[in-house]
Amino acid sequence: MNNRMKSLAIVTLAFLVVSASAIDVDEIVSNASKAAYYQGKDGKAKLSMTITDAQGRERQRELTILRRNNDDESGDQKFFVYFERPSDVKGTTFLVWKRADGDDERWLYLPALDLVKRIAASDERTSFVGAHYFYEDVSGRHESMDTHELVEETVDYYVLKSTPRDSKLAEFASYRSWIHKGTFLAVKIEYGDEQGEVYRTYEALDVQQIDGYYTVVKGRMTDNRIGGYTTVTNREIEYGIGLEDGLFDERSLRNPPRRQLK
Amino acid sequence: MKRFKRFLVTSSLCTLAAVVAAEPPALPGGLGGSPLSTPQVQVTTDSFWDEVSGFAELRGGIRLSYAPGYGDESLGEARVQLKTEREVGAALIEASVDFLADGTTSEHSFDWESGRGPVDMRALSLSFSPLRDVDVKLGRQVATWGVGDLVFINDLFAKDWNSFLLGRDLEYLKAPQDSVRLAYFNDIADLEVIYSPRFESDRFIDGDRLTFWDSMSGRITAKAQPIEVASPGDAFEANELHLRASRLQGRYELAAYGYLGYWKSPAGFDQSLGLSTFPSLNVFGGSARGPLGRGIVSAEFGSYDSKSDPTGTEVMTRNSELRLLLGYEQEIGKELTASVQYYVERTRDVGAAGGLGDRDRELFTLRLRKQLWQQTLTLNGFAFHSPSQKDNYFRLSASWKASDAWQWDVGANLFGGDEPTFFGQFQNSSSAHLSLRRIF
Repeated sequence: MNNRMKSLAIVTLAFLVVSASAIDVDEIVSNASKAAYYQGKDGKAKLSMTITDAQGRERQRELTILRRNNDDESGDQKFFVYFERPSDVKGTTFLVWKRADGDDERWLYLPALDLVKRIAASDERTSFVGAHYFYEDVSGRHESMDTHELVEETVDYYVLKSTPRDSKLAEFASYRSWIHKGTFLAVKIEYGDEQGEVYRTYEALDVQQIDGYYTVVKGRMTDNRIGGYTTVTNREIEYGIGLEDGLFDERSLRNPPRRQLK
Repeated sequence: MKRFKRFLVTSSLCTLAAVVAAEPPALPGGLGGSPLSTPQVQVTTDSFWDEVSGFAELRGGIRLSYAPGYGDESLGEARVQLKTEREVGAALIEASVDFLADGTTSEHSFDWESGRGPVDMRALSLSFSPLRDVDVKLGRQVATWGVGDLVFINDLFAKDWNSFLLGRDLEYLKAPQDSVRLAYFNDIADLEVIYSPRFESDRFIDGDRLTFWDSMSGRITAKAQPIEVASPGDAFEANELHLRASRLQGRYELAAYGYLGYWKSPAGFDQSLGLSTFPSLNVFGGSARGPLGRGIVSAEFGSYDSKSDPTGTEVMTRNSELRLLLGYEQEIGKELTASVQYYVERTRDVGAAGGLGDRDRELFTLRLRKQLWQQTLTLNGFAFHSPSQKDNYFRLSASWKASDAWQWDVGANLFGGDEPTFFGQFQNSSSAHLSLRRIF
């Protein structure tokens, strides 16, 4: 047995040992969810979405999201979304009270009609504002909806395979995520079908440390089934800005909190 | 040793294979990798025109049946809407104005209130919060409340029925009112008051663009004799007051409403003047809305007190009514939503004035809404059917956003039933329309 073989054997063994014991898979999933959706007590971000369809045509969406984690440790959150562009939806607002148990409340306000509409629960895996991102990609998928398995560990990543508990509630058979070890940010997620074919891919393209939190400031979702991709750039991200609970209310739908949205 | 070597080789190959099969992604910028070279999006809103948005639109419509005295075109218009908002200190000024060139009418004089003529001021208002829990909005504005879907009970704000039935964008169903809106938010119930110093009627069906059943003459109106009305009075003399108290109880929104004013469309006739009138009307009601199963259930009722006809014996004045609505909406498929409503309008003192007609006008509605092509195509079908009057109204539309800037709309308003019925009276006004909009 030559030296090269020896070292390879050691690396292989070391790898097996590490992947077997270093960290519990549930902890990875929980940390990844926190890193992606719960950082800080509250937060603000201005999103610029470029939706590129299969023919290469582009559409723009600009919106500001305010988020606040509820005071209890339930995982419940409130979101307020203000649409800036395209100009025909300017002033449209959207309020979501996300509940960890899944019973979300949603309201949509259409300024031209001064209409506050209560939105029925819908499939979370439908497009958010026509983008390749789903509602679930924006506000987070409940961890308990899938079973998670640590399938591999690389120098930089925990590689997880997640399978839906109820396959009827998801269009994918499983997805594989590369969770960055240092920050627990998902750097890549591949959604696969029954045949194991990847048809939908999320990629984190740029990360910045903001107010002490590592944050994906640019990401992309590609979907081969519908063709094309959506790129999201987040600007003016802030955490811990003291958003009050009362701000996430019907009042703000009609009269958006302009100071906090700036 | 040989076997051990073979095992090692195999296992290393397996490991390598696994790595090759799922190549780990390169680290993104900020985590050690380099960011993909795309410049940060810069949004500049410096110049005046960047602060103005709106659209330019061409819209044409044709009648699908013959209406004596009316042209074949139900719509033929070019419209430009300009919208802007300005912050002035802690206050906000909003303005929205429509410029309209209407090829189907010879009446081109400007009228602030009815929005007829070349200019329709849709909004001109000042909003501010004088106290932490108080919002004020002064000026010309649109207001909406209540839980019905195209069925209104406690929403007694002005509506433009002509635009709605002719096939303009749904936004034009709501007509603006010059009013003061005051809202006080607190933990018990949010209180809102909307006061219009001058009564503002609906932009009602007057026979000019759409025919209707004239119960006075007992026939369908003709183009030559559009309805003429008498105003209930001048500003501060004939005014209207809208009230709402609302709170969220658990997952349910509860609201109580009040209205002190006049019927919004003509509901009386002054024989001495020979004019239609807007008799006094007070309305009190309530609503509830919240989740049920996978959908949203809603309920609303209103008691219409026709003040000029307390006993229901006035032949020329609309009777008092009770109105009730139940609705349910649910997503039933991929980007497909269905909603159903039951509505009943009960005449309080039917027969007291010797009138005929049913005691109850019942109405079922069904809406189906489907989005396709990454939400760029929206199909909407809305059906009204009254089992008591045996009349129908179908509102069909398809809206295609070809790009962020261009939007096509095609649709139809189809009426069916006997002439004196609510929808049947518009049967000569069934129409189809097409529009192209440039959004900026």
